[in-house]
Amino acid sequence: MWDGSGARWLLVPPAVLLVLGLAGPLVAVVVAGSAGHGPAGMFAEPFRSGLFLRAVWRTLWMSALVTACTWVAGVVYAVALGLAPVWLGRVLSGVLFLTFWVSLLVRTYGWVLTLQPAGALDGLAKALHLSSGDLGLYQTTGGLIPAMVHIMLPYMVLPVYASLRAIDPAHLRAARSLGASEPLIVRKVVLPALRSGSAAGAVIVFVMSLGFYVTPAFLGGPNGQLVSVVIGTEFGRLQNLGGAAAMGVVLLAATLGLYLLADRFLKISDQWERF
Amino acid sequence: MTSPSPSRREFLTRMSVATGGALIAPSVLAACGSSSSSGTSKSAAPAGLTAKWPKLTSREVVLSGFGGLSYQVREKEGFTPFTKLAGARVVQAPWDYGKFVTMIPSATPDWDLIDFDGYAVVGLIQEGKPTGKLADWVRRCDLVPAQYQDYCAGGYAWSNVLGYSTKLGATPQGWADFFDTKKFPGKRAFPKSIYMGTVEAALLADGVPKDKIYPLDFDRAFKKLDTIKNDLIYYDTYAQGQQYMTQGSASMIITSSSRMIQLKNDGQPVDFSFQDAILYPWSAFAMPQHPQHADAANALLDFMSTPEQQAVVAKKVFLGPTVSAALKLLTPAELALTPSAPDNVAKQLTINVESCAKQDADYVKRFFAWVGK
Repeated sequence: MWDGSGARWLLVPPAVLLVLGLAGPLVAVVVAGSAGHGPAGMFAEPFRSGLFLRAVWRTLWMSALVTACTWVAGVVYAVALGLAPVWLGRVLSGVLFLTFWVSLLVRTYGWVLTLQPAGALDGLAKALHLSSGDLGLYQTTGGLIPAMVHIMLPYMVLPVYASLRAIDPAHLRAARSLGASEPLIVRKVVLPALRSGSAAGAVIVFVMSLGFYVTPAFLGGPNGQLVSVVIGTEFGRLQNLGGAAAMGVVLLAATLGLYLLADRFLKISDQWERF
Repeated sequence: MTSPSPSRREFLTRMSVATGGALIAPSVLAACGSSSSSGTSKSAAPAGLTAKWPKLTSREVVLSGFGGLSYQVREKEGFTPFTKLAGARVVQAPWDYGKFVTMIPSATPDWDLIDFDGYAVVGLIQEGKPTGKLADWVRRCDLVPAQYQDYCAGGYAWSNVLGYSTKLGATPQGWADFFDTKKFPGKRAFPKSIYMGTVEAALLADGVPKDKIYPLDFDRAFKKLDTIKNDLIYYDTYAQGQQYMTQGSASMIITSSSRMIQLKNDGQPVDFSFQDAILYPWSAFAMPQHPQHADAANALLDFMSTPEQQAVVAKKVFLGPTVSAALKLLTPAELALTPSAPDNVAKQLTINVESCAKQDADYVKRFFAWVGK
């Protein structure tokens, strides 16, 4: 049997890619971030900005809210996917994958056209006589959250659905033959089995929300900015490379920290082996 | 956060003009193509233009500009005829203020020219790092103040106006109406990063007379802007602002006159007026101290400052000439759309270039703090 010992060189291309694509730029960002105020200042300096502090707080609670909403919607969607007759299941998974295939920018722009004053949603509300003027959701947090949930949904549905598929039908038959009602089966058998999948999904969604840029940049108001958008403004508009890099490093450190914490309690990394 | 460095604030300055300048829509190109392409070939350059030029040895000029559609017009109407006359190709480089500033004193700068605005030039002179002086034989632009004429040429004037939907019924009469959402309902499209002119508009709306606008009273302006903050929808680029007007998402907008002309030419139900608009009277093409292709760069500046070339930019890009003779080449209808036409200048607030150069760092800081609040 081939033990692969003579083929270590196969590791070289991915290692080179990792260094060029990730480690190199990361070092450059850390160097740029610490250029102004030193490595310690890099972590302290961003917090001197009221704008950044507010953005951090907003990013945290919005990510948590988006995760909670996505979790509810994702579990419902995954269960529907599991229970639906074959044709409906195909439609549901088709819709889900379609959102993956359509560019993020296009989906976000769809939300812009839907939410902006005199846009699709205002037109619908008017046609249904629900509102006379403008719903005022564009460039507000209230408009941004549903869009973020929509974009994040597949990342929740897929791991939850994987857990659902892993349920042994024998368990369900056993529960039924022992006289459990359907709601009891859902509560005692199905939901506990989804726990690991939904934990994995929740962590992905939360971590991705922390650094979400495109959708918040388009749909969020300038006075409701997330950290990523503040970094984008700092770099692209204000040409403050050092400040933007420092904020980026803070965001990366916080994200890694939260991920490791989640992994310790939820054992997310075990989940990856199931995909 | 660190205080804005000169490069940072000037970058913003340029951002706005970049977008203000890059305002050609395909439809506009098409519309103009038929009307004046016949005239271009005979009038793009005056006879005897090259007589004052020395023998040019450079085979290229490197110009740091903005690309996009406005540069496609410049390429066709300006650079190509220039190359035929001068034998030097115009090579476009991506725009970067910070890079240009490091090149100003350099002995071997990569670029020969940059598309710049007036108060960037004034700011650099105030800081004691002036851009390169033009050769004696390059014509000066007489609408640029005399003390700056030696540092730049070939530029344009542009204007920030109040644009409005004609579906409003009544016609807004000035900036006070921009802030009056009872009389004129609807959202106001407002820039989120192109800050220029916003404070001036707020002060005019608050009743500050035109001759008392400078130095800018930021506290008063942002207090006034607070009153309509909930009625604003923000645009990042001029194109996005245009889209709000096309869609009917906003009933009024603060944007460049050229963008409004473009929408009108597209048949959109919008209009604007130069009344109380904010005029940026001159932008500039400037050189580093020691351009590597100095002869051809000076020749290009001379060429771009001819009344004929200035008029082409006014006709096709709707930017105002900085040479008074060019105004004589425009029809009354074209003059009515030109920011630097005397009738329009009289209606507008012309920015105080020196004062703007001094207050710009503050302007940027205050604007972004207010927007993000």
